Amino acid sequence: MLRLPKLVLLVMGVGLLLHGLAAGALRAGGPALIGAEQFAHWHGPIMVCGFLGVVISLERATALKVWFGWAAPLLTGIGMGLFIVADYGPTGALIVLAGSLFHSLNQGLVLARQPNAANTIMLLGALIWVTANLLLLADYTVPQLVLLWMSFLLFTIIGERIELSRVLVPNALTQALLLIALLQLLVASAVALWDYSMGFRIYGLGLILAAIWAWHRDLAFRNYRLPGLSGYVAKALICGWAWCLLAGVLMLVFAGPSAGPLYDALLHAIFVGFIFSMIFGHAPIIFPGILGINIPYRPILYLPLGALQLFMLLRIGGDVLTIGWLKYWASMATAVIIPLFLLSMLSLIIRSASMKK
Amino acid sequence: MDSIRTSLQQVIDPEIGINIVDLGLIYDISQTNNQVCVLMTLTSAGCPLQDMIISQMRQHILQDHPDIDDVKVEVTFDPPWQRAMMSPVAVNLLGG
Repeated sequence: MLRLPKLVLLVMGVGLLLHGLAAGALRAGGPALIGAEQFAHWHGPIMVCGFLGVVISLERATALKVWFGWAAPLLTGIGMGLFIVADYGPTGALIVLAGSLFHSLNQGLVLARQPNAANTIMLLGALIWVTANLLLLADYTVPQLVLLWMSFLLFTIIGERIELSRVLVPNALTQALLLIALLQLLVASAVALWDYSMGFRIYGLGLILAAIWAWHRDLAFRNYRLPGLSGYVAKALICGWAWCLLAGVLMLVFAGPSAGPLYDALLHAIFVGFIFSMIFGHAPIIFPGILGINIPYRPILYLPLGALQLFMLLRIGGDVLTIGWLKYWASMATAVIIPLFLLSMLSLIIRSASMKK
Repeated sequence: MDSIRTSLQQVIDPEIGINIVDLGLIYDISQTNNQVCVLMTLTSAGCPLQDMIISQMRQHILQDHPDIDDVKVEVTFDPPWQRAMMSPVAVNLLGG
């Protein structure tokens, strides 16, 4: 596929990210930017199905190179765009569902090309996303569905990490540990549909086991001493797994509320701490892969990564200790750091292009 | 073909931190006149880095071999990549 259409899809994903961040900032008590009061209640789905759904399905379509592969990010982006411009409607939800079905088809084709455990887990993640989108159409609430959306992301990331861990000597004990962790995440996502609190507790345990697995098997824990890009990616990933562990502990201890500061802490430890550490780490690899543009590594990338860790710790601290002003300012800072990181990526691309000339 | 392999050793998998030759991703290299053909695999069929890796391979081969003016790269997943395909250097770097 030509670079321009892929760039358009990526810009659509970034547009959804900015809308999701604006919605999040408003929910945290900040200003109403870009009409966020209209779609603030869809903050979570815009971030997960919109931004992450588009970027993950775009990443897979780029690898697959089949014409219908692009339907996944395109439909997902259009569907979530409808959530923003027309509030929730069955049309938007149906289009997002179609996008997630195409993403599952893509993952199925990847599995057919390369049958292994990693691709099976990623296909399972895609099917979990389809399930959540179906249940949204059946009027299940966001708090009921949030663990299913979380599992879509976790199964995708864990699948990718397993794939890379194949360079290590296989270990039956860690394989068993991961299987238990994944089963717990799956069961917990289903349990939360009926018993929210119980679902979160089981999920928390699954997250802790997943983090222990990563400590033993994720290459990041071996590569963090490497210089340059490889070392940066590894350190970002280790930060992500630390958030996974912390989120698991928070869920075990504080599971229960489906609103308020503790709910905020439980969700954002994973959705921002874990997921965005992974994104900050992978962006210098994935963006060039998608766009076919070389993005040179620069140590300045540690700055937004470090700032994200600091302000997320302050935000979770503000939530758990119910210090409103701390949570507010740390949330605002986090919402600013994410676009600043994207700008730093953009500046590296421009610098690289100007150096070539 | 050793000089082509040496060129390809400059292409590093950014996540694993090891070059694609020692990772065992290069299955075959052949040369006809001014053209080099490389048959390779990837550790992941869902990896979006394929185009970037191929572009770097072309760049290094052409840079190091002024007599070559065309590089063809074919990606296959048959046979699938296995850990046993890694060189002793890579195995050692990854801790045995």
